[in-house]
Amino acid sequence: MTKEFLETLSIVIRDQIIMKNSVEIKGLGTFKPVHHNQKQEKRADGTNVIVPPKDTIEFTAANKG
Amino acid sequence: MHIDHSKLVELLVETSGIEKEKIESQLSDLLEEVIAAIEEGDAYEVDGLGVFSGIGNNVIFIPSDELSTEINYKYVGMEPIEMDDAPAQEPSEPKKEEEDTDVDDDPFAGLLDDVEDETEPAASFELDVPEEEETVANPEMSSEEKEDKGEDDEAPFDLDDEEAPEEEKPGPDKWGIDTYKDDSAETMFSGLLGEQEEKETEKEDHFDALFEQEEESPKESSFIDDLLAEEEQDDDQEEPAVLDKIDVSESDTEDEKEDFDDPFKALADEEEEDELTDPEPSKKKEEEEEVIPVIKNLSSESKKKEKESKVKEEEADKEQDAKPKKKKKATAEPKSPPVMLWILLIIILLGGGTYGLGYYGIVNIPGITPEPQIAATNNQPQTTPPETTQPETTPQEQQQTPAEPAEPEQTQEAPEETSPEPEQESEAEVRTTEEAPADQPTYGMTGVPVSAANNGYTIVVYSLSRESNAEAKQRELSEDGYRVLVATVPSQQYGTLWRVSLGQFRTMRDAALAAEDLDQTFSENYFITKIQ
Repeated sequence: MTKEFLETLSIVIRDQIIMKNSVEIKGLGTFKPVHHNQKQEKRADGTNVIVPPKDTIEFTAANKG
Repeated sequence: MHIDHSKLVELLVETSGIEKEKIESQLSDLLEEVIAAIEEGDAYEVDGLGVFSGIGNNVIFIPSDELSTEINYKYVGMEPIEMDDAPAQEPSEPKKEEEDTDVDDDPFAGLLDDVEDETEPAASFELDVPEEEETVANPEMSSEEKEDKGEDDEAPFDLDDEEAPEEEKPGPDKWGIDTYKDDSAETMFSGLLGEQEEKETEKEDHFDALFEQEEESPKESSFIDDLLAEEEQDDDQEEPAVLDKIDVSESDTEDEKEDFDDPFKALADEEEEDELTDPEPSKKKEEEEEVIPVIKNLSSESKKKEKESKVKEEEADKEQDAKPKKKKKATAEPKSPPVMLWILLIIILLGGGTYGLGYYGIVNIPGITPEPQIAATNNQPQTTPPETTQPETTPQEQQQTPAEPAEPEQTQEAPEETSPEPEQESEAEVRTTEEAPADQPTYGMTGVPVSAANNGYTIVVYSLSRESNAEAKQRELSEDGYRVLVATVPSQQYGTLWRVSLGQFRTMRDAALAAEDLDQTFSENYFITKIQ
């Protein structure tokens, strides 16, 4: 397992997540992009703010349970 | 779209150029190491990807900061917008403009009314009104009212009124005051009139002698009259006004002398006796007495003149001494403040100069010099909404992927490689090149961008790393009738992003309502932001 391989793996997963594609690694799990729309939140100080949108990665393990 | 194991291997092979078998073997090795680490209760970290860890039987993945940032590069520079300030102002500001035309500046009028009721204008009016009343009513006012007002309000007039009759009415009742004033005047000029007082006493003596001697010795009286005339002439030449006042005092003193026994009477009696016995020595004595006061006067005058001249000289010397001192002071005083001012000016200029040099990047001052922007890398994946652009972009991405692996690290490791464009575009800029037709509303989804609506909100549908792609999207959407904005967003990590957005809306709510009507291609992935 070389460093080049790990870097390439990271880039491929990143790009596919950016393109809203889910990536499955057999035996480990699936990386899935999740988009969070901008939303209104109320802060502790009482001010209402519009939170900007955000994309996250959701990982689902292969062997559940 | 789902990338399964086989597709992932293909992508890895295409990206790295490593043989498929090696890719699969290394992938299986990675899997074993991760599972082994999790079974042992440890976490396994893949650089640039994240950390795998196990909680119970579950395996969790925590993406690295780099990955989290990179997948959110479209939203770079976006910060939470406070709803209480921004939306509250946005609807209110345009409404105010509209209301201003309809309802004659109500908010401001209310504010002004409040202010007038509370503080200054009322007071100013209260002050103004009496003045106006006075000025207007003065012609109609009676003399009594004027006097009353004058007595009540204006003290200077009271003084004038009191002083004027005193000066204008020199009646006998006022003479006491006049004499008092004369005394004060004499005290004021006591230094100068000291001799005259002596003369007056002498005159009184002569008067006393006259009253007693007139019947007996007319020669002496005539002689005394001559003396008195000479003295009066001298006095008239010197100060005629004082003599008149002195005459009044003399009349008073004569009355007093009748009550009191003056020693001069005794002297006068003796003189009478002497005159009766020896008229010649008495004449000599009188001559001596006549001469003595003249000598006294001359001597005293000369002395006084000398004294006065000395005093004048001393005063002149003092003035001469004082003048250069004043000049010195006048010259010395202005020197001290300018020195401090000059020092302050120099300090301010130096500080401003250094700040300016730092701000414009001539001198690199941390905290002042703006951070250099990293050049936009062409290798950044061009991301667009996936459904519509995937057929266009994915081939490009696949072509670019072989060159990509080291690029994010390059951008982070070598942030000094800057291009001039991002520095110039330190803030987001919106390009609205075309001019809107007259009948087009200021805000809306369709039409041509209006510069007057740039204070509103827009719906961002594309964030692209290439300007050419942004222009292509702009052309495409403009042909569809959308009001398309292209804004550049500088990013230190990703370089310049070109955000393609649709519509110009007055409020965020208007933009959100309009976004619901967008096509599915945009409705799933958009965000609303303020036009910058």
